[in-house]
Amino acid sequence: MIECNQLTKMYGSVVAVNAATFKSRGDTVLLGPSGSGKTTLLRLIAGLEVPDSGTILLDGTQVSGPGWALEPHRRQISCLFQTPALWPHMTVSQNVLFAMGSLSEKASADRLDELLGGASLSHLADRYPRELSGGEARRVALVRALAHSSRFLLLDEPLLNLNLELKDRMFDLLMEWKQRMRASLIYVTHDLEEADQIAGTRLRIVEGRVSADQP
Amino acid sequence: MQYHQIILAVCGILVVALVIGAAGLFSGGPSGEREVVVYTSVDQVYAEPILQQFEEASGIRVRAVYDVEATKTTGLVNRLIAEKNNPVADVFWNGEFMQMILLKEKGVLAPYVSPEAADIPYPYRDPAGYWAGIGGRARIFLVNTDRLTPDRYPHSIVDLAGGNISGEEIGIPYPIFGTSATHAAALYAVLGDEAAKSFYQELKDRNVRVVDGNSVVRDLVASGQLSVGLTDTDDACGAIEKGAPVAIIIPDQGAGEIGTLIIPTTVAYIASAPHPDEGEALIDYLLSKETEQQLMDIGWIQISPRLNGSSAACIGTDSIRGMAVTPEAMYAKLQQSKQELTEVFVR
Amino acid sequence: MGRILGLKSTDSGIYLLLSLFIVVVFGPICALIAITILYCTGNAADVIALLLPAGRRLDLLISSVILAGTVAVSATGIGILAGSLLWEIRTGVLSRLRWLVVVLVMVPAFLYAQAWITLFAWLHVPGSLPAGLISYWVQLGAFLPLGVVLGILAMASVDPVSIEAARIIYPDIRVFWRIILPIASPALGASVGLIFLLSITDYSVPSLFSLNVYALEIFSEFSASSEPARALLIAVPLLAVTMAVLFLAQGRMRNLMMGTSLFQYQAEPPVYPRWFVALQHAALGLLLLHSLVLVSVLVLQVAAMPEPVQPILEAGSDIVTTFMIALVAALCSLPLAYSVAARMSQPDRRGRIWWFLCIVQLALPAPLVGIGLIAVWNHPTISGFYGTLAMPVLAAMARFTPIAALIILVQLRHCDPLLTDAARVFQRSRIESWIRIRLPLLAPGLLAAACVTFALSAGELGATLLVIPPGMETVTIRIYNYLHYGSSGTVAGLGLVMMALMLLVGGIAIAVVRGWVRLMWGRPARRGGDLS
Repeated sequence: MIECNQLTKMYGSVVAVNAATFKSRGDTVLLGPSGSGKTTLLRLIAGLEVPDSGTILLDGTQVSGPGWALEPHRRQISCLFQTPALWPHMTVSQNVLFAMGSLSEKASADRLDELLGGASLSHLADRYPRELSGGEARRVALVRALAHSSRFLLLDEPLLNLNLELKDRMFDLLMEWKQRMRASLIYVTHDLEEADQIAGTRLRIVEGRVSADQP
Repeated sequence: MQYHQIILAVCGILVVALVIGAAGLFSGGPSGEREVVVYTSVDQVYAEPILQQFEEASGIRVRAVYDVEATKTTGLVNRLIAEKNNPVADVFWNGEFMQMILLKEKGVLAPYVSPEAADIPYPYRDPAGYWAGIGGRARIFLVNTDRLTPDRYPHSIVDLAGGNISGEEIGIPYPIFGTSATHAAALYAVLGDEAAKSFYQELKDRNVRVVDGNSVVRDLVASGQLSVGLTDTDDACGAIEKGAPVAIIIPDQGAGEIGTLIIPTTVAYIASAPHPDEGEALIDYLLSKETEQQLMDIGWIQISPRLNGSSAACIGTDSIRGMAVTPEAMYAKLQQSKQELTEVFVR
Repeated sequence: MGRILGLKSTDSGIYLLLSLFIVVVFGPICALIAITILYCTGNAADVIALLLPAGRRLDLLISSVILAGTVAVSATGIGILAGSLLWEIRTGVLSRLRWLVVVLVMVPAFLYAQAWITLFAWLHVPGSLPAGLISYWVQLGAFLPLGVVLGILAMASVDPVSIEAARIIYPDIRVFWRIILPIASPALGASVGLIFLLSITDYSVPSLFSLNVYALEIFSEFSASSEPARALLIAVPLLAVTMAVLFLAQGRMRNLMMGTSLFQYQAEPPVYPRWFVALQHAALGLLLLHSLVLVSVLVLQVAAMPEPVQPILEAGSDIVTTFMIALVAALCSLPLAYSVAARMSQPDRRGRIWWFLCIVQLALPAPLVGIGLIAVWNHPTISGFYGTLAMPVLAAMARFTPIAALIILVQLRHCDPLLTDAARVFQRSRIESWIRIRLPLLAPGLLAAACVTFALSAGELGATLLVIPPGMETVTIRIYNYLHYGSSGTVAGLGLVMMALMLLVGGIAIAVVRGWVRLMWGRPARRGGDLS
């Protein structure tokens, strides 16, 4: 469960997130136009930003408060950012393995093969990010996010720039992972069709204010 | 090898280098053997051999800090003043004497009357024993013999301001640093404030070339870019030894004339010196006649009040008449002359 | 807040580093300020006269600003012309050799001055040439390599996509003026600011040519009064002017575009009109002229010596001492510089405060830093520390860590912050994240900062002289001693040794940066050029 209470974040005089209050069990979809504060809210939940006021609780444990935030890697979360953010000095395999964490060598190799194969990326395992197309980089970033053991998966426009076939495959991969890890999604999108495919709490954010969305 | 392993390896090498370097950092500190710390503005090429000989003769290790002209005498003197409350140096060996008076005023020095100084006449030593001087250098004209015939040679310091040589042919060091500043203060004391300032103003108005130091004057005269330069005897003799077409003129030696400035090399004992006995031993050595003779032989000093008044061969005379002015009187004019001449020349 | 740091606001490690930075860099200046306050309370009448330049001193300040500004703008303008030409050399030996310019950046200005003085003497050039013109010429030569390097970096920082989008509409020369230059303006602003700072605080070159500058006034006062407080008060107008210029320059730097397109070429090189190409070649020719004079005069002077190697052998321990001081200062400054750079990168008021503090330190005259160091560290309780080589290391760190911070800041600006965010999310531990993600991303900036700090530390004189342990010496001190003595051959030999040292350090840095660029963006051969 994720719970936000009067969460506010300001950049100078601009209020990016304005007293956001919601509670969500299971998956959460955040809808909103560009510049509405979706990404900022996601970053606050991830612990990448520190709120000016309000609190965030994950599964009942407070992880953020006014002026402080538990470090992201201690929140058992995983992230897919708006841009792939692949580490340019690491190959595709190395990017995924770094996120995978502490597994035995064999277990890591098996898991890596499984993830890359599932996303049709096996042939790109030894490529560097600069050698990937935009869509390939995005898939690698998603695979990396799935590789990281977590209770919450924060996704910022995960299927952007993917063709229809790949979208379906990646979505299936996502759902399969979610089932396996018994984790929750926090899914940011502006695509209503995507939003419709995810059951769970549906929120709309407009000018930093969060409200329940009526489909 | 993965990139991060390369980075790690490089970091490891750098850490090792840092540790080794850091281990070396704490070298330079005091060792267990007898040692003496001397700050000196005597040119390193002259001072170093003397100090090495002292080391060999006494068994006392010498740790020296040499000054550089480029810092415009803001170096060692200000370091001594800044370290006053916890001195590092034992001895200050100075190429001139005005700064000794300054340091005495600031409480940096302590009196020590060396037995070797017994025959050093006033004004080559401080009456209260705070410093003592041996032979020194004199302010002279260095002329380029290819550019000037003897009938055009200047004979008095005032000839620079109104003689038959154009201003562009003449070079002087900035009269606000080093021995040039001392010379300016001496002229203030001897000629009077107004006359001295007018003299320098006239030099400025005549577009006399004002350069970075005595050695620059020497080089410009030796190379023929200037006809006449005002410099010290050690620089001048150096040019002569290298075979440059130059000659030394000692100004104002005629009857009734003011004489020229003689600048003794001085030694002083630092108050609360960390190695008092060793400091005294070094001072005794530096004030000895043997050292004085050696300094004359290697060309640092050309005039000595003790060695039968004899001067180095390059000067061409056995006696030089100095200015009839006390060190204290010159010192009293130093700050005023520096500030006024800064107004004249630094614009 | 803290995106780039990737740390909580209460992280003790960063605060420890910042505290160390404050002690090391600002300790001396705080001590000086305390000394000055004490002086002012007893000499209030003098304070205004010293603080406010008037009459002669004002004229001197203005002329110094004009000289420094002219040198800075010229070096930057010529630098971007030469840099734009060098940048487009994509293949062959020249594409590798162009980075030798980096080595020239590290050569102290007085070596250029000595080379030109010697050449003028050999050619019997009359000494009546205007001092201002010669000083400008020599300072231009000394700082032009910096202008060219920043010019190359300026060209490299422009996203080729931006250029190609404009090339569809306009001819290349118009693209250069309307697109490339504005995008490259942060690097150009940095060039103007840094060269202005170096020029206005330099008195050694102007004084060699009998040109009076305001920096000389400061030393003149210090020499006359032996009062560091008076020297600091007189230095305040110079500090104010320098800070104003640097603030204008840093305003451009703070807006530096964050991008990952560094060192990428457009597919096809630009086609400029002949007059522009002639200007580019003339600019490069100027750089080559100064470099040739420097190297050839030094080599000829050394060759004329009967025993050229002997003085270098005699200076062996000085060379080792210099290398150690410079290396330790460079390495120790890095973590401090990084912590400050991270603070400076923040767009809020705190970031601006850190900018201000760093810039103030850059403009402070070296001997005053030395006096401040003595005031801070020379106490009986820590005298064992004071009398060691740690002091010249601290002197170098006090003077040059702010410059290292500025260089690392540029690197931070070019680093995609999302890469660090991803590391924060996926890391198992901070140490692992630092070693595997952040250090590699920061490597070029850290290396460049270390190399620049190394070079500047090796050539530092004013502060080092005041704190070097007795019995030790650096190569720079020895060079200045021999300059005074007139041993130009020895000076030339030691100058070549210093250049060789810089070549070694610069060569390593260039090799690593080139490898990093290839790793990050690959060989631009795929895009139609060769970065090497």
